[in-house]
Parts: sequence; structure tokens; C-alpha cells
Amino acid sequence: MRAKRSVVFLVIGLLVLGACRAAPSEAPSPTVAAIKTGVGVEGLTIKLAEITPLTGTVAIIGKPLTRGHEVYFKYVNDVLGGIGKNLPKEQRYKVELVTVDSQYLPDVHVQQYNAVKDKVLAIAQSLGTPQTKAILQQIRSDKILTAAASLSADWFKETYVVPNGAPYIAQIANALQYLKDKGVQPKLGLIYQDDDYGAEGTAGIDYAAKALGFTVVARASYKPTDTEFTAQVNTMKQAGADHVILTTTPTPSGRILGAAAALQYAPRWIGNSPAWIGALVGTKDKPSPLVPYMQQNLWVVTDQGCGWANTGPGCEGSKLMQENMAKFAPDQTPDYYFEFGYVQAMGLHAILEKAVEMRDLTRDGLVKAFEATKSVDTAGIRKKLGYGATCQEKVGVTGSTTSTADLVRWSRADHSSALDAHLRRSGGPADRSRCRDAARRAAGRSSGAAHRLPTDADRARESDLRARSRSPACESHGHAARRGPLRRRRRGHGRGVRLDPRGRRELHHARAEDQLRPAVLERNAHGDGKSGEGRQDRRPHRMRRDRL
Amino acid sequence: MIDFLQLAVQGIALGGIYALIALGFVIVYKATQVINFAQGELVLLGAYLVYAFNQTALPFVASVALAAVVMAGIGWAIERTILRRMVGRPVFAVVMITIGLAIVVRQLVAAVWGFEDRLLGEPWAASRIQLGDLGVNVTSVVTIATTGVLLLLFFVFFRFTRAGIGMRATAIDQEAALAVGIPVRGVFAQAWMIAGAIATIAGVLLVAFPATLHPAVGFTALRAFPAAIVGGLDSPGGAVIGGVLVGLVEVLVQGYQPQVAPWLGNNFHVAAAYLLMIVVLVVRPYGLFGTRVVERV
Amino acid sequence: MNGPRSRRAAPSPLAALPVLRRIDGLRTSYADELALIRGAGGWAALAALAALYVATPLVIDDFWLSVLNFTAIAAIAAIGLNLLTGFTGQVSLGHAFFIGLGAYTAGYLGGDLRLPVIVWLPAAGIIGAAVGLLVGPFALRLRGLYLAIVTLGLVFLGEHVFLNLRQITGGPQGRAVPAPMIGEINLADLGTSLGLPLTREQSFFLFVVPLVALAAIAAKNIVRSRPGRAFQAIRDREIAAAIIGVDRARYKVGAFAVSSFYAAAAGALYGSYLRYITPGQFDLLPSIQYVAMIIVGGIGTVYGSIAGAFFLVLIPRVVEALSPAIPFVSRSATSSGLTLFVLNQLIFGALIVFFLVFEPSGLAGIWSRLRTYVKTWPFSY
Repeated sequence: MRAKRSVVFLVIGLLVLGACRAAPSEAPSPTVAAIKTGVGVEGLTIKLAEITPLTGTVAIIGKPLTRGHEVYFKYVNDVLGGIGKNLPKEQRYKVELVTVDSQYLPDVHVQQYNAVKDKVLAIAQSLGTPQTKAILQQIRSDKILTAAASLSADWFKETYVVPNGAPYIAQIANALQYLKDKGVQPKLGLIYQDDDYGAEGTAGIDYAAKALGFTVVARASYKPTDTEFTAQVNTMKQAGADHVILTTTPTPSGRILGAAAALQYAPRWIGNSPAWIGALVGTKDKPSPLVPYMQQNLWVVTDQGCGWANTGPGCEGSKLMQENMAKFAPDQTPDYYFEFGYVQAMGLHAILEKAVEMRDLTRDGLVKAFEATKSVDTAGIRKKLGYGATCQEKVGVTGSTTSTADLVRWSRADHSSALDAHLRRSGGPADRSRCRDAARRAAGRSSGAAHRLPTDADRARESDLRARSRSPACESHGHAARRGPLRRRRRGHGRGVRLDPRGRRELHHARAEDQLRPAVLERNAHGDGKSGEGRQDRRPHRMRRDRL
Repeated sequence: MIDFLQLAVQGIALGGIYALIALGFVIVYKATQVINFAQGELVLLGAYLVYAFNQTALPFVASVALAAVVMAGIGWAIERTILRRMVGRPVFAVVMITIGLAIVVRQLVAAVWGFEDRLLGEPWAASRIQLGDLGVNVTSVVTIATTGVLLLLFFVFFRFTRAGIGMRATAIDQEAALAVGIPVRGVFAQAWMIAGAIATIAGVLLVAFPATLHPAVGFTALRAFPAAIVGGLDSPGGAVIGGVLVGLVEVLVQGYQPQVAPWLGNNFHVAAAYLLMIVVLVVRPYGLFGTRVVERV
Repeated sequence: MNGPRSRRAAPSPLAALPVLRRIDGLRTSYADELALIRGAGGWAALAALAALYVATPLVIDDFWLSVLNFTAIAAIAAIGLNLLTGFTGQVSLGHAFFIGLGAYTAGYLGGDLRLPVIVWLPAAGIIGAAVGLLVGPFALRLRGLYLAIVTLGLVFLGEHVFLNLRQITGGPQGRAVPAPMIGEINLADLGTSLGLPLTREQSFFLFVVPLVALAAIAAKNIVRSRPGRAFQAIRDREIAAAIIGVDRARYKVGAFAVSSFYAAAAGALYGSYLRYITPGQFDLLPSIQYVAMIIVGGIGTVYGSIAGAFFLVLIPRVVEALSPAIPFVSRSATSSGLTLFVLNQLIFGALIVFFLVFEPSGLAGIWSRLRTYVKTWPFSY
């Protein structure tokens, strides 16, 4: 025992001496203007991590968001030459993105964080509230700046997390404030998803209704796998809600609006930004029949700014974004999350620029730059993007714009999609100016060619097919022939097998031999008396039938 | 009263969809004693195939028929290549294989068509039938009608056709079925082909208006499990009855529980479906119409 | 009958060394049969494992260490599931529910009541076992796939409870779970607590691996003693077991209780490692993953569970690490179609399918075939 223990200690000692953990790579001391660099900066390349779901259902958010980052940083690298606007062009820092798939699972998220944490300067995207909370402890201890692509309000309290976008709470609050400003006294309803996203909806409506003096007359929740929403819509209808907030995702929104149309219930629907997707209106050839209903009753609350439709004066940022998208990601269709990612990347750009200005591209330097960056100019895409050290300064984006879906013209755009939706703006509380000329918002998927409704010829063809399958030609006479000449064809062909010659139609379980009829046992007993093994079976068919 | 009727109609329609998915489970289980956890993904794939064919110049019914044929082929292929080798192996290993298949199919669908929502484009979209105060989507009516027709077809199939009787015989005892000349392997293949075809129809009705088509549709198939179990895993009639029962219970609970018993929590209807299943199983351990397994010592 | 006596009459020359007496492979006594560590080979293996335990956190980097930590936690849960499904034959798809139960219990006891880890870890297990005792009677009534679907229902019922019992579970937004603390010492972060040069991953690894060893030894002891034999009897021939006097009800319910204990303890460790849990993490997917673990690892063996846990947690990361070598696949994160990331998932699903098709007795089957081959060489045919 003692020998074994000493052997073990020896082995441990040897291994400790030979420890070969990879030390984090220290960048060589900078040759340029004494900018301090640290982990994640190699030469003139800044590495940023993207921990995002690229597979799975949440990839519809993760992929466009990451694309937004990619397109913006490609613009920065290629067109602007890199980070550092006061540096000469050959000394600017290029941004490189390290992307890993978190599958929207917290444990994979933690593992991927550990995979990239020693390689990058900051985390440009950590998507998902529970996922980011899982790595929060490590972010704090590693002091690594993280841009959370999650709209939880908790990030405003964190030193190392960059919040982005108005929380859904703010979206609801702004929408209700808008109603109040118009003098409406609504009877509020809320339909929300049963997860943390929906919890933001309940928190928002509770806070805003209390602050503005509105009443919430009905609330209903649903599970993401639900297919029936009649009950929820009915609840709203019974309670008499005339303004219903939808904290939902696109598929349930479509179903809810469809159920409401069927029930002939038409309140003002106010959807959070994720509740809308272009596909809900269909394509040019096959528009959704809900389009008139949606035009009349649906508002969608998004983050305030020019968005996609407006590229006129005051919205140069949006125009630039669409140009960059056409140049660097031509197959990307306009998408809310692309825009979100693009704006988030602009914020990170501003923080990085500040860090270069403060001559400190280490992790600590980045945090100081984050606290020092007061506001970011997005050239109109967003009304206001603010950062800072305190909760009050870290406003991020809290203004909202409410838009109505108004589909006016169908025509082919330059993108491969065929539907244009015309978004008319009805400004948010802080911005009363209306954008007059709304350009087209291409939203939707590939066009289909026209298809015709089934004609009588089709129906006749179908019934013909059905009739033909019942014809006698389908009976397989060959089946009997295959079984051999000695075997009789079963009686009552096609009308059920009669296994019992006495006419009873029971089918007994062959494994339960206690259910064998005594007749068969008797026959066996006779047979045993006659001869030894291998008694000739001179009545093959009857025997076989009985045995079953 | 109208509310109750409205909810009841929607519940029966939802139950119809569950019944169609459950029929797929039941057919495969009846013939091969295996629960096909990939049925949800077959439903998904069927719906996407209909969407893909519908995007071409084919009429809607033809695309459904063509997709059903393709799905039947895929079901046959799955049975032939993978499950044929697993004959004789423990049942749960086979179930795990279907789970692995489900993962593969889900990723393939997402790879080919992406994760975005799409509209199916069926011809009856958004039409509504008004019966007095009752407003019913045509989709619901089509669902109920299809379920009824399919139930009838299955009854005829199992009762009066050679293939159906062969399948029943195989379900009872594979050895004996082989002994009388029933091609058991063919029966397995038939079961999977039928399951594939039904999955297409279920898929179409699941994503028809007002729903949209996206890769997470397969998870809804899990909600049809209670339907298959309540009716009995090897009874097609039981699948339909179980489906309608579960659908009714879900929608009615969804409608009334928030007022009557809010302490049960939000969205109790999902849990209610499973509670119903557990209650039924406690009373009848093989489901309402399932075959009792006699165990030899 | 002559066997043992004739062996003692002609002892092998190796019998001279006490530790090598059992190296010949023949079991000469019941104690030998039941022994956990047999012969010099056994002791050498134990020494190697101990060395590996100490060396790994020093050699391997944080990413693979975090993967190994998750593997260790999954191994504990998989051992529990194997006791239920592999040894007793009761298929359970509800393992994720018990894991969630353990995680929330740890969150409540450790976070709200601020108890140290030596209290909340066993307490989570005991609460899991208590709930398992409630679920167990279903196994008495239901068989096979019906039981599996009922346990599936348990997952959904559990998710409903987790979503609605907001005081304890925090509802859909989830709750924080504390690190394993004893007083002020954070066992998962000894670096900061004790001033040692250890990262969080290293610290947690050193904390969790002895727990895995404890769990494995306990399971092995259960298996090689009376309850274990009862479990296996129930699995193999239930009615025959009842005839010879095995109390089916007691052992079936007991199997559920024991496996739930393991699952809840694993869940407590999982929550404490992630530090934040939401109800959506304990749905059907983890349940299926655990069943896949024990099937791929080998039903009915303890070390098979650990091997299965390695397979299912480690292989996806290995595939990710190796797949950049695959040509013709888009490496871009955001292009549509077959990207590297979709391919990773595809490969993983396909691996499960191929593994089960070609090796249904799992990794343990491969291992035992290998061992038999080596032992019987050169007569391995």
C-alpha cells in the first residue's frame, strides 16, 4: 500500500514537472505608437468571438445576426481600412471573427466559451439569456467584455456586458405610451409565450399598465409547440380586450391572427418585434389570405430608427447598410436580426475605436473604453445608441417605432423575392416626425410560379385512380399458385380469415398455449399412440389450418 | 354555449391532426413492435416536400400525391437499409435508431430549406365556413374529413384486404405468419410506406393556414404521443379515438382552466394531455383498445 | 469437483508473489468473483486512473476540461439510468425530469437557504429518490414501451411544474444555482478561494471526478450484491424471479428510487456548474441523450455508462475539431445549405445510428470482446 502510494506521488511529481498547459498567447509588444495590446490581438488583427446558435430552431436568429456582424466588419476592414480612424491606413487593426456554434444549449455554450476565451479580445455575440447567464461568472472573473445578443434587462447592471436594443419591456412601454399620447384608454390583453421571452412581455405590460393607469383585462399564454389558439383568442374576446399585445414568435402570431379572423374578432394587435416575419404575408403569387386582416389590425413594434424602408435624408446609415449587404452578402434578404446585428457591430466598432484612441487594446482597456463611450452614431438606423458606466447612461436603444403592415403594390424587386411590403411609419413617442416616402421593403421568400386550383379533370383523375385500385385485376391469383398445388385457397377469401374450422372468429395469441383447443391436444394424444417420431402428416391443409 | 361549440370543433380538428400522426405511430408499431420516434420528422419532411412540389407547376393535389409517394419510398428505404438489420435486436436499440434518424432528417431539412418560416400555399387557404355564430376554418373541416376518410380506409384495409390481414397476422405472431406464407418483410416495408404516406397528409394539415412551415414542426408530433397511447399502440381505431379525445381535452382545458382553476398554472393543457394518458393507462395498461400482451412463463 | 483442490495441489509459480496470486484469471473463491480489483492488473489500472485524475487538469486546456466536466456529470446520471434500464429492464425516458429536480433543489437549498454543498448535494439526491418512489409504482402496472411513454409524460409534467412554481424555480426565466461552497470555500473555484493557481475548470474537475468514482463504486456494489441480483432477475425473467421469491414490487420501485437519486445528484452538480438553469433545459432532448448514452455505452454495465457519457458529450466536440478537414463543405457560419455546423450534427446523428446498427451491445460489448480476445490469445477464435 505504501509502495503504491509513493509510486503515485512519483508519477504526479513527474507530470507536474512536465505540465504543458497552453499559456495564453501574449502578443508581441506593439510596434505602433505604443498601443497596449493583450490577449486576442495578434499583430494588427483583433479577434472577436461569436458564440451563437448556427443550427437548430434558433438559428433563424443566430445566422442573420452573425451575418450582420460579418457584413459590418467586412465593411470596416475593406472600405474603412480597419479600426483606428486617426491612424494611417497601414496601421489600422483588422477585425477577425471566430464563430462557434452553441446550438442554443447552455452546456455547449459554456464549452464553446472555454474554447474561445483564450483566443479573443472580446465576445462580440453571446446569444441567449440563459446561455449568457451560464457564462456570466466566468465573464466576470475573466474580465472579458461581452456583447449579449439577448434582450434581458439584467445586462444593464453588469460591468462587462454590453446591452443592446430596447428590452421587450421598453417596446411594450413605448407602444402603450403612444396609445396614451393619442388619448386612447385601452382594455389591454396579452398573449405571451411560456418562456423567458414571454416573461419579458408580462413584466412589460405590468409595469407600463401600472405607470400609465391602464387595465389589463385578459392574459393568455401558450407553449411554442401549440397548434391551437382558439382558446386564447376566445379569452381575449370574452374579456373584451380591444388592444392585445403579442409577445410571440412568427408561427404562433400567424395562427393567432388566423384564429381571430375565424372568430371575427378584430382588436388592435400590437406585436413585439419577434412576432413578425415577412413570410407571414406570403409571396406575390400566393399571398396570405390574412393580408387584409393584418393591414387593418396589426402593429409591429420595432426599435426606433429608419430601419429598412427609409433610405432618404437622415437615413444614410440605412442606405449604407443595404449597400453593404448587397456587396458582401447578396443572398441575404432584409431581416430584423440582420439589422440588429449590424447595429450591434456598430456599437462594438465605436468601443474599439475608443480603445484605440485611449491607446489600450487590452481587456481592461476595452472595459474602460466601453464606459467612456457615451453614444454611438448609427447615421439614422437607430435613433439613439448609448453606453456608459452607470445604468442610466447605458441606455442602449430604448426608443421604438410602431409600424403597420400595408401591402400596396406587388412587383418584383431586385432580390429574388417577389413580395414588397409597404411599411408606413407611425412614429414612436420620442420622434414625432413621419418618414413620408416609405420605400419598398422586400420581405418574403422565393416566388412560386402560379399554380392552378384543382380542376374537375384533376378530381376525375383522382377518383379514377381510386376506383382502379379496387378492380379484380389487383387480386393476386398468382399468390395461390405460388403456395403450391396441395394447398387449398382459404375460404371466405377477402372477408376475413377463418382460422377456426368451427366458425368462431377468435384469433387467439399463439404464444399462450393454454388457449389451445382440447381437440388439437386429443389429436396429438392419438398421434403419439400410433407411431414414434416423424408421424406422417397425411392431412397437411387441415392440420395447418387447425394448428393456427 | 357557442364558445363551447367553437372550442369543441377546434378540439376535434386538432385531435384529427394528432390522430393522423398517431396513426403513423400505430401502423409501424402494429407491424414491427417498434415506436418510430422519427414520425415527427417524417411529418416535417412530408410537409416540406409538398411545399417544394407546390412551388413548381404542379397542382396542389398532385404535389400532395407525389410527396406521399416519395415519402412512402423514403419509409421503404429506411426500413430496408437500417431496420432490416435490426431484426431480433432489443426493441429499445431500434427505437434509439429512429431517434438518431430523426436528428439526421431534421438537420437535412434545415440544410436544404433553411430555418425560415414559409407558407404552404394550399388552395383553400383562409376560407371560412360560417355556421350561425360558429366560424370554422376550412382547414379544420378538411382535417376532420380527412381523418374520417382515412379511418374508414384503414378499417377496410385491415378487415378486407389481403395485405391488411397479413399485417394483423404479423402483429400477432411473426413466426406463424411466416409459416402461412405471409411475407413478413414485405409487411414491414408496407407498414413503413403507409406511415410515410400518412405523415405527408398529416404534415400538410399541420402547416396549412393559418400556420407556417418551419423546421420545428417535428416537435409538435411529440404532442401526439398521448393520443397514440390512450388509444392503444396497436389499434388504428384507437389512435383516432385517442387523438380526438386528447385534442378535445387539450383545447377545452386551454379554454376553461384559466378561469376555473388558475392555480394549476399556465398552459396546463399540455400536462393535462399527459395526465389523461397516465389515468387511462392506470385503468387500462394497454390503452383503451390496445391488445393485451399475454406473457408466458 | 476436483478443480479447486487440484489447483491448490499444483500452484502456479506466480503464486509465490501474493499480489500476483490471482493473475491466472481463475476465480478460486466467491470473494474473488465479487472483487472489484483483481490482481496486479487491477491495481495497476487503479494507479493509472489516479495518476490520470491528477494529471489531466494540469495537462489539458480549459475547453477540453469543461467538456470532461460535463462528461463526468453526465456519467453520474447515466450510471443511475443504467441501474434502472440496463439492470432492471424498466425503460425510462423521464431522466431529465429528475435531473431538473436535483438542479432546482440545489438552487433552492444552496441559494435560498444557503446550505453548504455537503448538505444540499445528498439532500438533492434524497429528494430525487423520494419522487422516484412515487413514480415507481407505475412500473408495476405498465410494461415496456408503455412505461417509457409514461415516463416521457413525467418530463412534460415536470416541465409544467418547473414553469409554474415560481417561488422555488423562478418560472420561465429560470434561477441561479450557487457554486458548491463549504462555508467560504468554493470547491469549484479553489483558485480564488484558497489562492491556488487553479482555473475554475480545473477546480471543478478535481471536485467532480471523485464523486463519479464514488457513484461508480456504489453502483458496482449494488449490482454485485443482493439488490443487484434481484434487479437482473427481474430484467431477465420477471415471472421466474417472482416464483423464486424476488419481491418484484419492492425492487422495481427501489430501482426507480436509486436511479432518481443518481439523477438528482447529477442534476445538482449540473446546476452548480452552469450556475443558472431554466426549465427549457430539462425537456425531452436530454432524456433521449441519456438513453442513447447507456445504449451506446452498453446496457447493463457500469463502466458502459461512463463510456457512453464520453461518447455522447465528447464526440460532438471531437467532430467539430476534425470536420474542418472535410472538403466541399462551406466553412462560413452564415451561408445556407450544408454548412460545417449542420454537418456536425448530421455526423453525430449518423454516428448514433451506425453504432447501434453495427454494434448493438455498445462500447462495453466492444471492450469485453477485446478483453476476451486478449485473454484467450492465441486461442482467440
